[in-house]
Amino acid sequence: MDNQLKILRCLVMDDEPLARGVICRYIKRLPVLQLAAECSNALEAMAVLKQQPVDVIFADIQMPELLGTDFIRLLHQPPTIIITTAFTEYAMQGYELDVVDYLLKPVQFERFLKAVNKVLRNAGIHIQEQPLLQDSKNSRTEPYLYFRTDRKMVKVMLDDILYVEGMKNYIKIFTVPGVVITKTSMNAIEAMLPAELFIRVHRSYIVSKHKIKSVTGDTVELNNIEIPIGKLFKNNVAKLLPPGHVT
Amino acid sequence: MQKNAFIFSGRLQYRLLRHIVFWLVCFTGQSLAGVGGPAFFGVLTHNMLVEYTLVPALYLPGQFFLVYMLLYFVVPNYILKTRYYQALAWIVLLTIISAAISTLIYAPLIDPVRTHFMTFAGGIRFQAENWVANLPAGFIFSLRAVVTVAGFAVAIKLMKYWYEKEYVNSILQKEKLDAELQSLKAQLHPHFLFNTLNNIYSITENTSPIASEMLIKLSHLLRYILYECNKPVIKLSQEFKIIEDYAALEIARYKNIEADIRLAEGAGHYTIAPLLLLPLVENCFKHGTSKMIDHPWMNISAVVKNDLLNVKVINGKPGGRNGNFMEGIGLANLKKRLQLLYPAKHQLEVICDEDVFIVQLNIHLTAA
Repeated sequence: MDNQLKILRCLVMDDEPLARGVICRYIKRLPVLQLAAECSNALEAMAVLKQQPVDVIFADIQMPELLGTDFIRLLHQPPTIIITTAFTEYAMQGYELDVVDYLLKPVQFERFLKAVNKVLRNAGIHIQEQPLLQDSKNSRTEPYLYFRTDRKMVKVMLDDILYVEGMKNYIKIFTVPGVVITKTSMNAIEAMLPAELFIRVHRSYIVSKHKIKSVTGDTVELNNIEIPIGKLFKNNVAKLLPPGHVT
Repeated sequence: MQKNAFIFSGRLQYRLLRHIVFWLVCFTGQSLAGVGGPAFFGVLTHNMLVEYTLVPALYLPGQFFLVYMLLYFVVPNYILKTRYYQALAWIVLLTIISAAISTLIYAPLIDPVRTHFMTFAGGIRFQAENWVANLPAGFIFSLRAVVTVAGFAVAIKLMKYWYEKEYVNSILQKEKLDAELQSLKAQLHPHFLFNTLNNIYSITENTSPIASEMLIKLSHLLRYILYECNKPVIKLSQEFKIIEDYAALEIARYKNIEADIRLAEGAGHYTIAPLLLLPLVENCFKHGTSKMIDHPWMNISAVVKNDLLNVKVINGKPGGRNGNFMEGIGLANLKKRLQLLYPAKHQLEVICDEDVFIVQLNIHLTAA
């Protein structure tokens, strides 16, 4: 961070001490911010503003003596204002008052940071917004489904599935690690498998699109196995091929 | 609903018009009933036409009396107050009185009228010189005439009354529901709720990141339900966000569940009716996390392609009986809402298999 950077002096105004606590801790977490004062009402905040310069006010709206919105209207040269409130209803008023951001309680640090970044944008600075917790999206696994075989539930990675063959009362799922046999119907399994990745080529066969090596008139070839294309499914398979292609 | 002013308006001009039309229809109806037969057989004469126009006119005073006595006395005071025996007594009495009135006008006048206007052919002959002898027959004819018209009038009156009552009831019902919802919302005191959540968050924020994360998600969910649901449509990405928050809370609740949730990113420029997809996911947790399942798992995915939203919700369920999970209240409600909101623009498929329950929903969305 630039040493020339001006540290922003912040005033936190909220009648609830615990609510002030959150914002104060957030302010202390960012070196670019400095906590100038904590006030439990607007009159106190007025007094502070007369004594010392303040760059940013984090203001609650619903407070006993004076509403935060009225307080903002009373300021001659208002500093940058970020509203922190439990009320969704004040959002429109907030825009009228020309506030920089509108934080709804409970305020998450990421959301707070976003508001601070809006203030800092004028100074050309941006603090990287990094989630504190490992987001579930980052630790995302490959897609899978579960199937029951005998008494166990078996996890099958979609990427491992080569093709599915329907038998009379059960289904054989051919995967890279092996064959999974489960009691279900072709319609159910067709509905379970995502249509972007799998294609039904026959009344009794569903094939992974990625695993198809070649397509002939009435078969599709996977690694070393040929699967028949059903008459009713020829159009379906034709959609895989570039337009104008005749098989 | 716009109600027809001619039928329902309480303004004097409409009321007068209604009554004039009613009497005109009754009068023409009665003359046509007399004229119709002869006209059909081609034997209609000028005399008949005159007679069948004049005779119904002679009945009118008696009919006036009965109709208005019933409409403004018997119906409001007895029938609508469910005093049916008294109503019946009044009806019988008034019918006899009005038939008598009719007879007293009809019997002395019928023969002079006929002799003045025509030479009568056919029918019952009355004795003009002794009109008292006409009374019994006149009474029977009058009775028929007054009862027919009064029957129609009362039927119209009662039909209107029930219709209006029904209409008012339906509005009251709706207003009652609205009021209940409003008071529920007011009781919750949203600002108190969110301020308190914020205070709890303040305490947990330092000590328990998991608890604070859950609090944030819970408040997103509550805020969404309290404020966003009133809107006709919301951004699809908002609904997805709420599904993710809800699912995270449910997963934290059950711990052992294996959930794979993949919702399309960048769905912001589509809109959807709020809380349409969430019940599907709720359903999934409700049924997919039963104690009977040795390894609860679910797979929730949403893909948007060419304005078509495909939502697929798969969850494991205890093996055996298939009917168990079909058509909970949630799914039935969803079906109703889809019919209303996306008629002919959606497909909903429910597959209930041995070990797995699959719901597939396709909706044609419009880009915002």
